[in-house]
Amino acid sequence: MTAVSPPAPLLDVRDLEVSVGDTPVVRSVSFQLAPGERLGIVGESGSGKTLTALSVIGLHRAPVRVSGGQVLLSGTDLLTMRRREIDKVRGARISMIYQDPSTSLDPLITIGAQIAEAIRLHEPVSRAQARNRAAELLGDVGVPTPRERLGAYPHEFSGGMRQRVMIAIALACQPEVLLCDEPTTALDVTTQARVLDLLDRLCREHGVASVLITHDLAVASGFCDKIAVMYAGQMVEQAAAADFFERPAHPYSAALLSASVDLAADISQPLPTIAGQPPVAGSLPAGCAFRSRCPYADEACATGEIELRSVGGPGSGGTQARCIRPFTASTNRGQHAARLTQGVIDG
Amino acid sequence: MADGPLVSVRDVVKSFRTPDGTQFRAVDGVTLDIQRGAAFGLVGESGSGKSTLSRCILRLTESDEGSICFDGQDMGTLSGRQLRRLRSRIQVVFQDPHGSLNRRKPVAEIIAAPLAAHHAGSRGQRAQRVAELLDLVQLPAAMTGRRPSELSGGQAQRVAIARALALSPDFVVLDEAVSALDVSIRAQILNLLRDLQARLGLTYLFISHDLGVVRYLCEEIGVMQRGRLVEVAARDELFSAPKHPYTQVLLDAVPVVNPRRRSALTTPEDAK
Repeated sequence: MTAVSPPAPLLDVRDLEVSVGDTPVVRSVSFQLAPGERLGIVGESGSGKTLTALSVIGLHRAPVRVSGGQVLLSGTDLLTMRRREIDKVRGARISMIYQDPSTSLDPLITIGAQIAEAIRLHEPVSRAQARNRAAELLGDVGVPTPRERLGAYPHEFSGGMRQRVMIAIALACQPEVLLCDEPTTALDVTTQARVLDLLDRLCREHGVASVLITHDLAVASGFCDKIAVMYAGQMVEQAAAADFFERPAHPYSAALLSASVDLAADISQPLPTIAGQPPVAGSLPAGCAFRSRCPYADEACATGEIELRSVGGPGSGGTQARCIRPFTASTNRGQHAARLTQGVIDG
Repeated sequence: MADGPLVSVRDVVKSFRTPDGTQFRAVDGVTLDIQRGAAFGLVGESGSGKSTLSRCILRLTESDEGSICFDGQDMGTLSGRQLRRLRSRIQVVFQDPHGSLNRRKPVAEIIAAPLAAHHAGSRGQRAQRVAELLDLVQLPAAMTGRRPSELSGGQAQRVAIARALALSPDFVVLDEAVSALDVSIRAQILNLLRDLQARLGLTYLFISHDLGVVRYLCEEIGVMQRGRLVEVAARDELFSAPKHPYTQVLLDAVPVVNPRRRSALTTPEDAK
């Protein structure tokens, strides 16, 4: 067999560093996205998920600044682009949807006008054409009688319908990459299921690559091909979704998974928890950021910069973890829950 | 204490007037019993009426029709003084821990507020009780001087729980009490709530949109849809053989992390 070089990634984020003032809050974040691929970025509040996404698309605002790294979209670095250049890319080739659709839509402008505006910003079409496209898009995202709804205002839509409108706006110019920041967190569970189905179908039909940011591992599990776990501003694990949910490599990932209460959780025992709290940006310990909460940490974890490295070993796939002794396929995982429930509770 | 359920809700109706003048029945003829020492879960989507029902039970709002009995007494027929006495036995914990705590006050004062309101004990006795309560919710004694802004979400929710327990209530309404918390912190608070229920013999009304969390904490579960209670069942029954089609729809919509992984991690024999 001849070696085939892998296709260049569509989105290639390299060593992204984001700071608030002089304090780095996102450090050495790297990930790649192939056309149509889906990455889930999971983690708890304050872990840097949203800042990562906002910086990738250039929507962060002072005092947040990107203090290092590259964001390559088909090889072009978005971080070094001029304002006018990035305005052309944003919305057209890469777009974003947010958690709260009620605050990202303008309450005083009709739904139709907001979708048409997104189209006309990037494409030389007439008002009438833009309006027709807007109706088509509304229909695509499952809004019933779309043509009649063009004149409606955001408050006349339910939360789920507003999020559909946001998806219609985000996809109006057929971007190659869609960043979704907690897109279903504000929605009811049945609405969430429908919106996720919709995103799934549209991303598939249009070949859109996506990044799904969520605190909900179950949501990421159903939607993503790859999972990245963030902790204290760093990615501590990256893995194929199937490997991740079967064999998390980083102790934090394992802890997060076992603390999730879904309908399959073992309820006969106390839930495994993680002792302590994440470190505060700006006062990170040397070595591993998770070590003070990790039941497996020792002196070796306290020194030097710990790199994201391949876990290796049979059955580990391409999993990378920022840990000097990650769990491997041969680790006895039955013991972890016990180790995790021990320790001081300091919620 | 009388026999029978601690809380008895009979045919309760609560309507609101919508801006266009029509009546909207937020709670539409709900009947349910909450047994002593039980954790009753109330699930449903936003607008289903679960919070309005809990506000009727707490008498934060007056119901239009029906009756609500607490420990055998119809709350609608009580005098102000009787109701006040009853109120100390009923407490509530809300979703947003920071929003529900007075941010100008130190933790000790927040937790002692119900004691002060009911003129319970001397200053010294109250300080003693605050220390006990902090211990009960597993917060260090050094927390007493902190203000809510200096607390994490989990710590703030523990303070709210301590305050709810200050008057040794029988019944605690937990309205989305863990919904705003991160995964790992939520697990800690759920463990704490279960532990407190067992130790203090508390009765819970646990309101949540999260079925996984309700399944963990509640033995009996009611499902609300558009103001009506469409199904009430024991936990095992509800999750394995739901009777109402809407319950089935809700269950089907819940995403599951990874069933295989789950059983691999928490095998009962080595979980403790």
